[in-house]
Amino acid sequence: MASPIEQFQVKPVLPFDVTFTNSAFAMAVAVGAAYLLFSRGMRDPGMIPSRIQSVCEMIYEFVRGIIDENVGREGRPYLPVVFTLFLFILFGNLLGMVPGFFTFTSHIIVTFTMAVVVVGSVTLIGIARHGTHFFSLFAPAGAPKFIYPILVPIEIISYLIRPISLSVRLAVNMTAGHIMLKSFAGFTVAMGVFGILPLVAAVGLTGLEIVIAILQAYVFTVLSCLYLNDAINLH
Amino acid sequence: MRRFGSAAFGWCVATLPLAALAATEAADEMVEVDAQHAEGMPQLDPDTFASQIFWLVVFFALLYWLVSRKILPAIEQILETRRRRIADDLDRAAALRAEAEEAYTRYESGLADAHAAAQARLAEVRERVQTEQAERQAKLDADLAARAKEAQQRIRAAREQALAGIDSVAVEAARAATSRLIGVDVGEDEARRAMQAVRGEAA
Repeated sequence: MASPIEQFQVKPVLPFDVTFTNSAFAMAVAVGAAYLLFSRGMRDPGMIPSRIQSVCEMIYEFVRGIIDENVGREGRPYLPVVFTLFLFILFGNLLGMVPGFFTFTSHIIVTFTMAVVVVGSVTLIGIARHGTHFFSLFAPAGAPKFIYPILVPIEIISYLIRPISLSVRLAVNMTAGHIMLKSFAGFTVAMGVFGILPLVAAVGLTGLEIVIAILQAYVFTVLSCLYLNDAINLH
Repeated sequence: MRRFGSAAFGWCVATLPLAALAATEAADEMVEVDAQHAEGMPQLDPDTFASQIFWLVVFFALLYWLVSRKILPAIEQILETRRRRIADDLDRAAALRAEAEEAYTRYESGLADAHAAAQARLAEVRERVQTEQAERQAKLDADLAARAKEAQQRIRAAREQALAGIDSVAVEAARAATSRLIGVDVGEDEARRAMQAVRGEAA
């Protein structure tokens, strides 16, 4: 029997939880920081770029170079998506290097969602461009016919595994690096005077982690472009 | 093609809430299992999945909007402006170069014309000088010849006169010599005849 005061019960309306967490906050800051960089850099763009404008143009030409090299001219329409992907991961990784800041790219669900969207979009693009011919991707031309029974399943599995490898690579890199940094930081405190040794190691590791932060953003973007190239140009 | 890329992207974004819902349901089933080892990796806690996917979609879409509407147009515009400026400068440089080459060609042909004109003028002057000189030479030759002839006549007259003088001197000398040597006074006429006879022999 329903209680007369049950009507005053506060309940979530959405069927899933959308709490604004520290992860969401980190994403907001990453987007804000990325936009801040570019709005500052391109506020009054000059024929001779200012320093911050050069940074913006370098990032742009870097991403455009990735597309041009891996996909070619037909990849140009996807520049906005690829550029967004690169910026989002880059700023997520780099902001994670700020002590006390949350690294949302260390969460497999975040990277997996991005990877699924990338591979899913790329598959749809491939089917839209080539129809059923797209599935020739799984039967590479030039291979002898008799190994097809082995080759085709392998190709299909490797295709299906793409979202997993793409996402796990990024999340595990971020997670492992941050665990290592945190451990060394812990040793520094625990070892007292001799904590200088793990401190030195932690300083070195911080540099390494910054490199990895940039490198992994690049790797994710390049692999996305390679998948896009598969879909657009087949093999 | 760009529109299709956006559409495919949009489709995947739109299906994400469904995926999130499925993830939440799966998470509900795993709650009991998860509670047993709550100290595991937070990354593997399915309770956070739905919210993280939701905010990922929100902020990724926001960044996509910012990139495609604000960031990329601004960068592409300045790069295009710079590219066009450089191309314009190169074009202008090429035009100036062509102009300079044309001016050089004009200068060369002008120089060649002037050279030819000068040569023609020089040849004309040289010819005129030569004819003038030849004329003057001829006149001078004629003048000299006339004067030489006149001088010869004068010399001949003087010589005849002198010879005539010599005859009388020789006659006088002969008469004086004979009177001194042999003491005979020869008449003037006779001495003259003798001398003319001697000269006739000598001649």
